[in-house]
Amino acid sequence: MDNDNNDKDHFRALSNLAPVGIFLTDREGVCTFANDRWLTISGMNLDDVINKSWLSAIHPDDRERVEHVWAQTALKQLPFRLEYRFKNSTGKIIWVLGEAVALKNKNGESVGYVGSISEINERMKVQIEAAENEQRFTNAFEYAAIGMALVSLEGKWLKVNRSVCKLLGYSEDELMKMTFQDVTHPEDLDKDLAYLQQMLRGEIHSYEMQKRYFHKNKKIVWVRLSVSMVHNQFPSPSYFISQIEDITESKRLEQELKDNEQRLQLATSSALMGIWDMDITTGALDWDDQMYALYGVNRKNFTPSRDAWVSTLHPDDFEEAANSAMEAINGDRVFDTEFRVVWPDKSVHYLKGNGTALKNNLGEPIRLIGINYEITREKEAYENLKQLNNYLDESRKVAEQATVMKSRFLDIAAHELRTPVTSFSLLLQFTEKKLAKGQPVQLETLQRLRIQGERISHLVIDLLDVSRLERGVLSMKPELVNLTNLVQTCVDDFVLRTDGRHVTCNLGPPVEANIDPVRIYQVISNLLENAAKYTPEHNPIEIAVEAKSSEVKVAVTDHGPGIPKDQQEGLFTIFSRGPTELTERSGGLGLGLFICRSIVELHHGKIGVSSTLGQGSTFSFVIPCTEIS
Amino acid sequence: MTKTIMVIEDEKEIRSTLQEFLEFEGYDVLTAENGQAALDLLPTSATPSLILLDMKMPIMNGWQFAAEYLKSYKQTSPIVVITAAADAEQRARDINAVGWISKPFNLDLLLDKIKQLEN
Repeated sequence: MDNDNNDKDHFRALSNLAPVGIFLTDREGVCTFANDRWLTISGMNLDDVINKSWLSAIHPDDRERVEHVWAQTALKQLPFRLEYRFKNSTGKIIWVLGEAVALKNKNGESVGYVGSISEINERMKVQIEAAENEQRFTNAFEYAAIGMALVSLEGKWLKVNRSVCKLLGYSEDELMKMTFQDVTHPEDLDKDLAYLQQMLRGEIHSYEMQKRYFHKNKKIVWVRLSVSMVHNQFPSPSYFISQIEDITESKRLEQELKDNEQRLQLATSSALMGIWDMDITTGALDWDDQMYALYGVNRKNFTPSRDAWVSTLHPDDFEEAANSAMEAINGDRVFDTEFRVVWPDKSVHYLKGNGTALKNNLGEPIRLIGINYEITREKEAYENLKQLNNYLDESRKVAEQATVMKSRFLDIAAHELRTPVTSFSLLLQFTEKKLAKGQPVQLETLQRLRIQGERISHLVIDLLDVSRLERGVLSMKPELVNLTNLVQTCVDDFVLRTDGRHVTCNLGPPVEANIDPVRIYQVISNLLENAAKYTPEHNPIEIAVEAKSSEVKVAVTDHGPGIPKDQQEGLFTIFSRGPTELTERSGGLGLGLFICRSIVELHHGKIGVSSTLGQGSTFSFVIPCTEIS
Repeated sequence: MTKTIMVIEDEKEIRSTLQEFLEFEGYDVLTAENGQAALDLLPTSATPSLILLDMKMPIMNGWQFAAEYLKSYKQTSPIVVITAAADAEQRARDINAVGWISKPFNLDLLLDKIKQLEN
């Protein structure tokens, strides 16, 4: 017994030194001893413990559980192991791990229990925090604004949050039966898989990419995907964690911007439109490719700048274009002007320039941006149109003038025909009256009648000739003729017709020419008649024939009043006559010289006049000939 | 007393024939080849009872003659315009002429007109 007591004392002394709570019970599980540490943890004294009221120190939430397990343990004599809380009189809660084993005598019969409680407050705190953390993670995962997913190494969706479901249009259950490969755009799959392989090989720890998924409704969803790998306790990877951000809208905007840029580029390039951008403070100029083309230069040989641009301007447009640019730079108005530029090859091109100033916060212009495009063809077309318009206007004036001339000519023709017709008619009526009264008619009267008849006949023939010339049907019948003799015949006939007007002839050696003798006779006669009209009767008329190698010149000179220079050219045109005063005196339609010119030209010759006022005029024509030695 | 008619006409043949015809009909005839020649002649000649006036003439035309004549004389003779122009009537009105005759014309009509004016 003493030994027993000694042992017990010894045990108590030792157990009070232990850092854990130690207790003993009897066979029924009733506490018979608790060391100091136990009492400290539970906040009880030894009497309370032995009086079986130790259960009251257990946290109320754990009390039933502990009592039940301890009852079972005692009943079946099993080892006891349980985590539970003490709540002492001060309200302090202490987590403990309680353990107990059965004590047996020499015969192997159970005599009671020895047990311990060790404080596990720190460990439990960590455990609780971990649970809380996990809860927080779950919440963060579940309710994250971006998609989050855990994906197995094979690609199976292990866990997805709501955003992923919303993004892909599948429920969580549906996704759990799928792999990410199932919903990935085929064009993006290889790249994604390659990254995963790199990660599995340990070459990278994470990756980020933009990729396309197919929504359940078949539409493409653009996402920014960030993937990293999660390792469990073991170093080998266990799954991937993905962050999936929907960037469809920003992709669409990006694409729209790109499309707009492309459209703008297409528009500007197809309209051959160049775009420029000038820094107003430095004068630096930025050109697109088309600008170089518009100025006939390239990036190698030309560096755009304000000064370089000015140097390309056409000298005549320099001031206006430069001023316009300055006004735009000052922000006075937009740049909108047309100007010419001179290419290095000296060719001139019309350009249209538009631009506008961009201002800073202070309202100061800092950049001038705009476009150039070529308008050379438009300008040329405009110029051509203007020319055509001028030409049409001229033509209209000529036509109007011709109409006026024609009606004037008709007036003159009527008047000029009426004069000889009146003369002829009056003389005929008077002759008739005289004959009716039995008076004799003189031969002279008949000659006067014949002359008037011839005047009428000449006028009519001239009108017919002009009509044929105008229609281009007056044909020449050329033959080899002695021109000298023809001139002589003309003069002889003229002298006879004019009752011996004096003509001085200077005919020279005989000349042969291939001509229509009737028509050349007509020309020479006409020139002689004109000379007679404009020369006072006592002054001689001169005619000369002069052959020079293969040409012969026939000249008729009068000593009349001469013709002013400004009227000489018009003499040979249709419906034109000499000075009014002279014409009215001499009569005639003014067709003679036009007919002469036409006949001479049909002989491949030329007709002209030289005249000095107050001294007289020389009308001459030159035609091809064969000189006779 | 024989009446005097003045013929102012630049066309020689018309002038001559009219002179011969009017003389044949018993008139005294004064002729001038233009207005100026007529003005030169008038002061020294008998006062005509009628003037036959061509309008388009060199040196001095019918309009110029009429203006000068009407300005220079208080007592003027009636004028009959003889013209080849289509607007003979207008021309006659221009110079306050008493009548007009278009070329070519009938000599009997001319004579009727002269007799008419005498009455």
